[in-house]
Amino acid sequence: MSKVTWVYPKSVDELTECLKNDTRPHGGGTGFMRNVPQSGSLADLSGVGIASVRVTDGSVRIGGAATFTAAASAIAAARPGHIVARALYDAASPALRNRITIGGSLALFPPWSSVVGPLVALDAELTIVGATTGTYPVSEYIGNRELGAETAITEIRADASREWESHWYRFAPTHFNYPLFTVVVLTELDGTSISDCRIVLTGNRGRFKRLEAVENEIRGTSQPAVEVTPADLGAGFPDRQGFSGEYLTHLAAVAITRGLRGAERNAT
Amino acid sequence: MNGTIIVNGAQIEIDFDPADTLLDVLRDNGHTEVKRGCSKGECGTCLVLLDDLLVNSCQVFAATALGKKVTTSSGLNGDGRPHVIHESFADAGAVQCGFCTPGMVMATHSLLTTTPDPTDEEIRLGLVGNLCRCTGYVKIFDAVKLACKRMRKDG
Repeated sequence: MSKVTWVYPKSVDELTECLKNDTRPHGGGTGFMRNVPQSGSLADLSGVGIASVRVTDGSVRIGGAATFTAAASAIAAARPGHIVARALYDAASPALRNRITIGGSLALFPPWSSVVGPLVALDAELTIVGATTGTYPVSEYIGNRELGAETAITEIRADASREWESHWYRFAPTHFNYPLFTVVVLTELDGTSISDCRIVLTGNRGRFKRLEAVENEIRGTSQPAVEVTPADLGAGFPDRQGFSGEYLTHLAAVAITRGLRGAERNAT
Repeated sequence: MNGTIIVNGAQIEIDFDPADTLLDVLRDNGHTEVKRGCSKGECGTCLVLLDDLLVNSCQVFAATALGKKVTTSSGLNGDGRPHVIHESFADAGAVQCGFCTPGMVMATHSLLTTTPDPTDEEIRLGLVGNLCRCTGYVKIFDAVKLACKRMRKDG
């Protein structure tokens, strides 16, 4: 018999108290199933009240315990074609999307997470409670694993006031496979000129990378003729089953170049 | 741990280990129509509705399902008789070894509930989390289309 104990907090305050006692937050549970805990305490987040999704003209606010399905459908209803909704709908299967939570996906950043790239590109922030209570950029949270220790994500906020054109690409051997990398390209136009640009790659050696040098090269230009090279991707990719790191690095460079040239763009 | 869940309309008392999944509990309580396949959320043989949402029961801790409503393939029709989706799978010859069928039926039910007239691509994406080791996907695809047609006709 396992020695796991379950607690069922009913508010953020109760959850915060639980986290002081070495309790791990449980959203949908999919992140625990590969290595089911045999001891310690798990807090079921379903009663905490952090599963709502609100989309206004100015922002997208997603509760940490909102599932991929709930978030995707709410965002798509308010902002059809929004890159976060497209990325969420692309993840895993319908049944898994009904369980995987946004907070869990950010906290554990599993290989199947498709939400990190769009949120980093949108300069999203998240609020956590627990040992390091506060609001942080998603990029800082993902980049510093210690920040998330003994905490739970209560809300993620992304700006929705700007009219980006977006490109989303997910490379996976088959649709249901985990993506080996994802690419997000956001461009904001001022007439025919690109006034702002964000490019984010995930799945690489550093887990994610914002291509700031390429972004700077593109700002102020019209339709970019930039060709992204493997050297622009920094540390590149590790070898994966069936794919060398070198091949993946070249493939990602091509995917980003295509994104910049405007293929499959949608308004975000 | 112990508690209750409502399976196919019947409230059942369950006694389970804190690390048990909903799949463990369902099968331990006689619901063997819910199949144990990969236990990783990849094959879809264990699909059930949890409060009307399609889930892989192998990916749900039983401790988080207490007090909730579970519907298995056997309970889709409510009266114990085959649902039109079951009949469509049989009539289309979409049942070979049959192991994946309960999960395929549940995924089809969920798809047709949200998308009553799916495109071919929507059917593929709706069943993307279900594996058939007999690789009988063409007949399964036909069965989904047949069920869609019959459900539209039946209103």
